[in-house]
Amino acid sequence: MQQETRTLTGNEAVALATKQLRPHVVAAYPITPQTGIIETFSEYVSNGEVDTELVLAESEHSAMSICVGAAAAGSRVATATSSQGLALMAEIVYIAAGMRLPMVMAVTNRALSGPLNIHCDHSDSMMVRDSGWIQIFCRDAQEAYDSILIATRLSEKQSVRLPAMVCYDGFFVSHNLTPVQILTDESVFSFVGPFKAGVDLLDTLHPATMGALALQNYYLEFKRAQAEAMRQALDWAPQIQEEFRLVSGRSYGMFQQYRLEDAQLVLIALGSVSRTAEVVVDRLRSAGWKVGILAPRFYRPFPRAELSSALVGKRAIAVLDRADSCGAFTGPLGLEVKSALFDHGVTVPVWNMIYGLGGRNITEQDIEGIFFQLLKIVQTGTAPPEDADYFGVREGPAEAGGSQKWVEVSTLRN
Amino acid sequence: MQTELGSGVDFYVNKAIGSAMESPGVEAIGAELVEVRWHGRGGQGAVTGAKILARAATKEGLWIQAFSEFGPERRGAPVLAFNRIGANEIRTYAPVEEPDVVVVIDPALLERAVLRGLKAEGWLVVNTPFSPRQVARNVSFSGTVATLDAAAVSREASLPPLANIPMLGALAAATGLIQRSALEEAVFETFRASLGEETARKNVRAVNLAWSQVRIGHYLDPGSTEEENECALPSWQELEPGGTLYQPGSARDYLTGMWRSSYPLFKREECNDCLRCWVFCPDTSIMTNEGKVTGIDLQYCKGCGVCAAVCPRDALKMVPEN
Ligand code: SF4
Ligand code: SF4
Repeated sequence: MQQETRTLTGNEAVALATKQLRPHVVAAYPITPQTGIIETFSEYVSNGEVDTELVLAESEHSAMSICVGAAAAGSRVATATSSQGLALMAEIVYIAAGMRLPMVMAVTNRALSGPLNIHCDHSDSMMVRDSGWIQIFCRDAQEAYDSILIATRLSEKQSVRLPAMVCYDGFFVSHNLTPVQILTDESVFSFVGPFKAGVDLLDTLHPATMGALALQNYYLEFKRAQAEAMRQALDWAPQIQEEFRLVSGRSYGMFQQYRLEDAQLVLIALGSVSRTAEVVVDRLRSAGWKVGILAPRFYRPFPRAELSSALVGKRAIAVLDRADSCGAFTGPLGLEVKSALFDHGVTVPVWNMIYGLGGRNITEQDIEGIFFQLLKIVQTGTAPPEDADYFGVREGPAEAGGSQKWVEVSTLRN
Repeated sequence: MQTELGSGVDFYVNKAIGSAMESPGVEAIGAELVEVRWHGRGGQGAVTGAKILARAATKEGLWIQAFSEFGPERRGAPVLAFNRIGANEIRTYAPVEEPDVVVVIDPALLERAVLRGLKAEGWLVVNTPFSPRQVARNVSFSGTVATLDAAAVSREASLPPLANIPMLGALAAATGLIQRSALEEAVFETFRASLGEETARKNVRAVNLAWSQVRIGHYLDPGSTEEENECALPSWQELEPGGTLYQPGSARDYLTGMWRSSYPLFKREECNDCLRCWVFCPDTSIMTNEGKVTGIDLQYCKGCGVCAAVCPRDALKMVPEN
C-alpha cells in the first residue's frame, strides 16, 4: 500500500486522480470554482504527463456533447463543471445517461443563479439528480480524490454503464489545501483497469447506431432499463469500494457514519458540513451526549434500505439540506430520508433544515445548537415542524417578536 | 354494385351509397362512445379533419375530443389524429387504443398496421380508388369498409389534391355519425374563416360529392377474416443499453418515399451534372453513375424539394403525386 501524502486543494486532488485514470478525452469549459481542476489538468497535458486529448470547448453544452461523442466512440472520458456550467450542460447530461455512456464528472458544488452567486451549495447537483447519473457527495479532498477512482470503476462496470458525478463543496473543499494520500499511478491504473468500450463507433468493422429515436413504443422500456442499471450500481458499489479499501486502506460505505451506532440524536448532511459536525459530536460525546452523524455518500443510487435500518431506534434526526426543493417545503435530502424511513416503517421525528445556501457558512456553535434543538424535541415530545426551517435566515421584526430595537418614527407619525 | 372481383361474390355486401344518411348520431353505430383514429401525413390535413369532425359533432350536441400524435415533425411524416364522440361528457384522456373507426387519408399508408386495435366490427374508411371488398381482402379486415377516391372528388370540386375534406364526408356518410348538414356547416365555417367564402363553398361541395361517391361494404359473416394485430416488441430486459443498434444501415428499411406528397421531376436534358442536388438531398435519393445524375430513387425520396431548390438549372421541378 505504497502511498504518498501531498498537500493539495480539492481541485488539485481531483485533477491528479483524473490524470491517473489516463482518460482518452477530457473536454471542459472553465467556471468558478471548478477552474482549478482544468488548469491543473492542462498542465499535466502540456508537460506530457498524460496522453489525453484535452478539448477546451466553447461552452459546457459543447463540452458535454464532446464527452458524449468521445464516450460513444469508445473512450474513457472525464470532465468537470459547476453551477451554471452544469445547468448549461443539462440537456446533454440526460443524453449521456440515456445513451448509457460511462464517464466521470467532478461537480464542484456552487449555487445556481439568481441571484448570481459563486459560492457553495448543492443546488447544481440536485438540479440533475433525476438525470440517471450516479452521484457521489464527498466530505473532503481525500474523498474527492478517492471517489473519482471509485466512480470510474462503477461507471464503467458492464452491468451499470451509467455516467457518474463526484460532487464536493466549492471553496470549502475545492480551494482548501489539505493533506491528501495519493496512490501510485500503477496502483490506480490496476484498480480502474484499462477502458473497455461497450460500443466503439470507430470500429468500422462492427458498425453501430447510437442515440436513435425511441417513441411511445420504446422510450418507457429504455427508462426502465436505466432504473435497473442504477440498481446494479447500488449492488456493485459496496464490492468496488471494498476493492478500493484493499488498495488504499480507506473504507467507504454507501454513507459514512460517525459515532452513529449508539447515537440517539443524529445529524444527516451531505458534504463538508458533516466533517465539521464530527468536532461537535466529539465535544458533546465527552459531555455524555449520545450524538452521531450519517453522511450519505451515494445520493444516486440512494441507499434507502440500508440508511433506514441504520436509523432504527434513533430518538430524533436533523436532516441538513444545502439545497431547496422549492415548493416541496422540504429539501431534497429531507425528502429522500423521510420517504425512505416511511417506506421502511421507521418512525422517528425528522427535522429538516435548509442551510448554507449560496455559501452561507455554518459554525460549530450552529451545529451544537441543532443538537440542542433535537434534544428539546425528544424531551418535550413535540413534533418537529412539518416544513423545513431555513437555518440562520434573517427573520423580519414580525417573526422576531420582542427583539425589535429600532423604531421607524416616520411610520408612527402617519 | 362493384364488379372488380367479378360476379358471383355472394359473401360480401356492398351497401347502398349513403345508406346511413338519415340515421345520424352516436347510436347509429351502436355505441355510447365512438373513437376515431386518422392516419395521414404531415401536411395532408388529418388533424384539420379531426378538428372539423369535432366541430360538426358539437353542432349535433355531442361531446367530443380531437387530438393528435406526431412522430418526427416533418412534412410528409406519418401523423395520427384522434376523435372521441359521445352523447355524454368524455372524461378520459387515455390514448385511443381500440378505435371504432379508422380513417386512412393517404392511400400509401394502407397496410395491415393501420388496423392496430381497430374493433373487428369497426369501420375502415380509406382514400383509395379501389373497392371496399379489395381493401378488406388486402388488409384482412372483418368489419365494414368504406372507400372513396378523394383525389377524384377534389378534382371535381376544383380543389387542390387534399384528401381530408372528402374523407370527412366519406367518414360521416359511411358511419352515419354526423348529419350532412352539421358537417357542411362546420366545413363552411372553418374555411370561410381561413380561406374565404369561395374556398369554403368548394369544400362543402367536396363533402357533398364524397357523400354520394363513397362505397361501403362488409362481409356477410362478420369476423370471418380475424387475424392477430399485435406485433411483438422487445421487453426492457432485451434492449441494448442506451438503444444501440448493431445492424448498420437500418434506415434502408425505412421507406421514407412513403412520406411524399410531391416528387422531383428530373429532366436529363437540362442537367449539367453539377451534383448540387446530390450533395443536398437529405435522403441520398439522387441516383448517379460516374458523376452523372441518372434519376431519383423514389423509394426514399420524401419529397422535401431541397434538390429542386438548389438546382441552378431547370432540371428538377417538384410536382404533386398522382
Ligand atoms: S425531394 Fe429531392 S432532395 Fe428531397 S428527398 Fe427527394 S430527391 Fe432528395
Ligand atoms: S442540381 Fe440540377 S443541374 Fe445540378 S446535377 Fe442536380 S439536377 Fe443536374
